[in-house]
Amino acid sequence: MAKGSRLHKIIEGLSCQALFCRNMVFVISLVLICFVFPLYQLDPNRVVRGDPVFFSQLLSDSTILFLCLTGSFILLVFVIGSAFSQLISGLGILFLWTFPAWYWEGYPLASGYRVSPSIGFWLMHLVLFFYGVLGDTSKRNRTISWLVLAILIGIAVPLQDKSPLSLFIELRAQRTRLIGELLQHLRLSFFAFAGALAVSVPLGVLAAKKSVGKGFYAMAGILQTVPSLALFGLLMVPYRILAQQVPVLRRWGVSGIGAAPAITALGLYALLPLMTGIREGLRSVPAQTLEAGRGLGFSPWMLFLKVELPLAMPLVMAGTRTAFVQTLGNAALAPLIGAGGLGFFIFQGIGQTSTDMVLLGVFPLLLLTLGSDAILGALQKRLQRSLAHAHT
Amino acid sequence: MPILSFEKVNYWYGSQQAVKDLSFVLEEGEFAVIIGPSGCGKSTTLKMVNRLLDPTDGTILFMGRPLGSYDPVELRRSMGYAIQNVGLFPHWTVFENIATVPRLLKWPAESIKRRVLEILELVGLAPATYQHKYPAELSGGEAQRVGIARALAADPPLLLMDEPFGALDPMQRSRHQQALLDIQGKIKKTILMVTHDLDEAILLADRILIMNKGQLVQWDTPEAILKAPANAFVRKFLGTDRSLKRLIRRTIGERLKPAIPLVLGTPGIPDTDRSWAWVVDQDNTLKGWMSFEATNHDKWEDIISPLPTAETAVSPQTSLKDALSIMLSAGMKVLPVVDPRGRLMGEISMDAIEDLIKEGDPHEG
Repeated sequence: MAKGSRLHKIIEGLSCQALFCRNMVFVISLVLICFVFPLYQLDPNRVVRGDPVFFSQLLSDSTILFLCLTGSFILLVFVIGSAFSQLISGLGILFLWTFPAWYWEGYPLASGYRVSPSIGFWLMHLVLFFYGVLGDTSKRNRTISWLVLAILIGIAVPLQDKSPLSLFIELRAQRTRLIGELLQHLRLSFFAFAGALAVSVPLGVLAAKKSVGKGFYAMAGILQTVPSLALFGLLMVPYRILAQQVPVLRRWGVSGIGAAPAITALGLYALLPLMTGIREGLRSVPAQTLEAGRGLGFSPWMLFLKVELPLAMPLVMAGTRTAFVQTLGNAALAPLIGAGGLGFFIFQGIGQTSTDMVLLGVFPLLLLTLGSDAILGALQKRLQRSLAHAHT
Repeated sequence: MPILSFEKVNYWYGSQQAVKDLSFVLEEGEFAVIIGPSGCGKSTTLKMVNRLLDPTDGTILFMGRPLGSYDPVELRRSMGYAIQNVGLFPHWTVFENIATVPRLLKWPAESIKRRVLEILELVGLAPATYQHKYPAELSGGEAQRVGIARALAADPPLLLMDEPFGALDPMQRSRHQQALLDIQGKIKKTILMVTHDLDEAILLADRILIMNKGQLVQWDTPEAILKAPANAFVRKFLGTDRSLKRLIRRTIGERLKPAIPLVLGTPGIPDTDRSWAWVVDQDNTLKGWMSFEATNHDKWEDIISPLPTAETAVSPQTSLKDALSIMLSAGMKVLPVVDPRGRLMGEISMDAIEDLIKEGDPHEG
């Protein structure tokens, strides 16, 4: 017994050491970044780049304040960092984003000055991100972390109303446009996905059961290999011709450019993952189970509905998830053929060499894709758990 | 009225004939087993009964009406179906699996519940423990029992089984065979089973249907087939140990002879022409055996020889085949037969077994 508990203590000690080391590495890298790279930049206007802001400057300007801040952060890391790494990570990131509003409050905004994130800003994000992701915390702690962060974000957001951070300035300027393009992005994605779903379900079932389905499946595969941009372009011509020949469509707004070819292209792209999900899902149902079902007296339709489909669901969900997230991502290219969407900001930003504008398009897009992936993933896991005993 | 009747049934797989001119009748309450080498058409035959396959030619009557007159789906609901890999529905609990056919038949919920619990008891699975389990939590043997329960749930007039015990290990298999015999004893179902295991067929069947290359070769009781194989194929199929196989279904109880033991505490030697006797105590509990040649000892206990192993004291339910095997391994020509409490009921001799076999095997080899 004594030997066991001594070993136990050694292991505990080692893991404590590992955690301590991790926190040390984390803090040291943050400090290094702070001193080597500029955190922000003070630009006089949108085009001209201004002076970098180093941590050392901030320290010399308000020594006590920053020493306290740094000190309390380090303390926080060592006290709760191991158990609440997501919280530490979130706090750090939140702080970086809200700092300009707090520190440079009342800065001469009228003259067009803005605070842009600099290299140090992004590098700190990287370190904070890894710290949060690699943290081995319990589910309960993670939930607490997210709750606290949610509350803090809720408090902080309204306070960014007058933030001099360049991204927020851009956001304020483009707010209505952003909402419009976001809605358009969602519209394109949903219609494309719904259409693909409607087509792929019968085709996917066919592909799983009859040989004629193989042809459709191969076609969907070939479509995937066409680069999405090319597909968008390729569809312009047939749609233009279609709009010319069928005036009704033109009245509905169908033309060579715009939503119609975009939705079609996005839908065609979503076909493969959907069909694969359906086909593999149906194939994964053991033949013996279906034979037993038939022999017991299920009608073909009931067998499909009550046995085959539920058992196929996990893989079908996997395919659906891939297809949905992929569609959201691909829709970023839609503005290139005039269909609008969040990609609008990305391309505008590139054209105007305004990183802020690019980010204005990228962040909501990331939120959409990561968010829907997480939601669908949770749904999939819930489904797999209730069918946990399937497919042994 | 016979439950099932085949009349000159043929089945062609494209250009290959799987079943040829098959005719037989299955009476109510009969346990029939179809057996034969691989590819003889036995599974095909079974699948024609519940119309998973339709015969190319010939008539099959179920409950007096041709199969064609039934709707296939309705037909299958009135036949239990249990297959080798069971095919339990993994996303449903044991309860829901068993309730499958009653639900399809739209039984009221109360009846379904009652029936499921009842049938779980029948197949030897405690309802409280098993009804909420999922198939993945069951062992192979348990799953097979649930499969049988599922087949019997709606109390169909006919039960079809396709190599149900094929995927089980030998110990499980004999346990399941015995369990099936017990169930059959209780409910007397009409059963049509396909197997490739001859011993299983001999043990379970009321009548065996031997098939070869799609044709019926012999259709008779196991005893009759073993005593008089119809032709060289059957002889070869049964194997040269068919005499021994006849002993599978016979129990010691049939050939039990009374034994006159020596009772401890009573003076004198029992009245027998043998030079030895079983030794029992006042309660008739078997203690061993004793040779009469050594009688000048003070203590009886010194000269009582115990039995070589515990299994040599057999019960009346033991099969004659097992008894013979025990005799050979223990080197004894006579075995004592005891009741569950160990009290001597009689004895079984190798001669008696020999007589039984001689009783009816006119051919040799």
